[in-house]
Amino acid sequence: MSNSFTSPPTLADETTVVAGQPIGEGAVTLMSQTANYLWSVGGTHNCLSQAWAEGQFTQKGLTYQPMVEYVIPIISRDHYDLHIHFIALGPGGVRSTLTIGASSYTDEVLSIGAGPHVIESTIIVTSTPSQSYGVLSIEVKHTSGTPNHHEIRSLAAHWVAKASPVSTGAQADGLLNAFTPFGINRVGNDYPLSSRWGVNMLENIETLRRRPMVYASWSGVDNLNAAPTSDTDPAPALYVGVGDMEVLYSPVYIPHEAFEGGNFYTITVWLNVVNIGVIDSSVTYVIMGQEITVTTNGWSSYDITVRPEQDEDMSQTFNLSIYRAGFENDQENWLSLVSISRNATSSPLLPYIKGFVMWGI
Amino acid sequence: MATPTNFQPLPSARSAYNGVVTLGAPVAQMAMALKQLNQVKFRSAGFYHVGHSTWTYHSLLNYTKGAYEKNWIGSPSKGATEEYDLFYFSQPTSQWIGVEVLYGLRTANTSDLNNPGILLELYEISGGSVGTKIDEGCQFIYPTHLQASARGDAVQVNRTNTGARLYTFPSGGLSAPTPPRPLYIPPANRGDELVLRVTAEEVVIYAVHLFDLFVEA
Repeated sequence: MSNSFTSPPTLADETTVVAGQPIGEGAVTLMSQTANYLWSVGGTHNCLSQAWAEGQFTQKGLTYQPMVEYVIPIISRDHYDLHIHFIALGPGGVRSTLTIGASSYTDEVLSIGAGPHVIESTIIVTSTPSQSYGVLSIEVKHTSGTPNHHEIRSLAAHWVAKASPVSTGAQADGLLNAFTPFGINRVGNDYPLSSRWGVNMLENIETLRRRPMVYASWSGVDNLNAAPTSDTDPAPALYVGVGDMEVLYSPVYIPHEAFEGGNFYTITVWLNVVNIGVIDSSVTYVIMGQEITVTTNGWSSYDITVRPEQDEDMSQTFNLSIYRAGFENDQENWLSLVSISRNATSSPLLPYIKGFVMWGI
Repeated sequence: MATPTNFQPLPSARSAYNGVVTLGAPVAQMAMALKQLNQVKFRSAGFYHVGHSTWTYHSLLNYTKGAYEKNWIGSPSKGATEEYDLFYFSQPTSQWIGVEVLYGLRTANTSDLNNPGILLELYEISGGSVGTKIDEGCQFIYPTHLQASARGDAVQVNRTNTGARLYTFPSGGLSAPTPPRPLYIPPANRGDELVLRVTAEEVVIYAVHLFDLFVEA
């Protein structure tokens, strides 16, 4: 019994399965194939995206330095192949490490070429993930040659879609919600529409609805080889600043149910904060209209439960409910993000955001 | 039937239990839910923040420990070009890509502008490098599609997007960029890893947001 599917799927004509008439032949087969397809392919687009202007994200050092770090969602325990793509310049290496619980997986790619070129890195997760997210750390080094640095202009990552058929047996997503693939031979026209099919389909749809989609990803660039001494030297941001309120603000489709209580749909904010406890024991930010108070250093997560205002212009233009995922232009953020009046030379050090990721349904 | 754009309530699992007469309605609800997932939720997207130098405030913010102040970075010099290759991991169902660009022109003094514009082009990845162009792309030009900054020579953030009106290609295809429109992924490239090339003249790019357009099934 193969849990096969076609890609892209042919959707069932829902008018053939409405009340008051026999369930149309073929519809159940197509619905089963579509569910198998969505499990394998749905949400395998960008789970990380960021870019830098020319000359900013660079490394001159000859040993690996951790430079950016992100949290990425585990979309399922069946997707184990993470592809990371870079646009790089100059000779050097990129070493990417994905840490899921106590397990770490690393891939290293060396490249040469003075001009922009594509680097493709692959991380294979070889054991069952123990949690619903992983921390992706990216190290960069220069190797001898010209020019005298290795530079990253953009990077993006995605989980690789699975090919047909879906593996046999019940599957699970990162939060252990179940997905039971459909044996296509058992849902043909001359087979009964079983109770099992209906129960499994309802559960599968719920599981797929909860699959996380990344709304925003940002990391400061750390460990430059040397401090800049002129405006031609790299000086990328390490922390989120007040100017980012206008820019770190993605237009994302979100179903309204994400903001309702009493269901399992969540929007998650991840913040990587430093310097908590040096002077301030907490720091508060406003993200999607909701106050989030951080009390620990490093990555920590928070759920969005308040429904913010839609972006009406974008919603009307693109025919979906579009919200802005990011930092609100709010007094709290003006007081908490890096600015001229609140900068990293303050002593003692104030809390800052070194990494920011959001995902939801 | 129209595609539901939000999550509609599902029938109770009891409606599919043994001993219950299964009518069409629960199956139709499942079919609509799958359609919503395929056409709406699982659309591809990529949201790129573009980082710039914090040098302007280096003396105060101490290089990597700084971030942008409200006025951002200094304006780009006359004739300056920025180019970005941004990865877009499309889905087999992807067809049209909508793009929103957050940008700032180099100066509010419009007489000092020298044809600022933003060009968007779509490429496939081939042999580990940016390969063949698969959409000639579209171009935003000043003052038709782009706004000048409102204050002094400090660069402010403006937004523009391709809109969602689907484009009808002329017979024989395109040989030059068009005015702003969604970019098209040919059938052979759907599900592939693609690259959006953004070329900006006298414009600072702050963020680029890419997403599959919602198209009724």
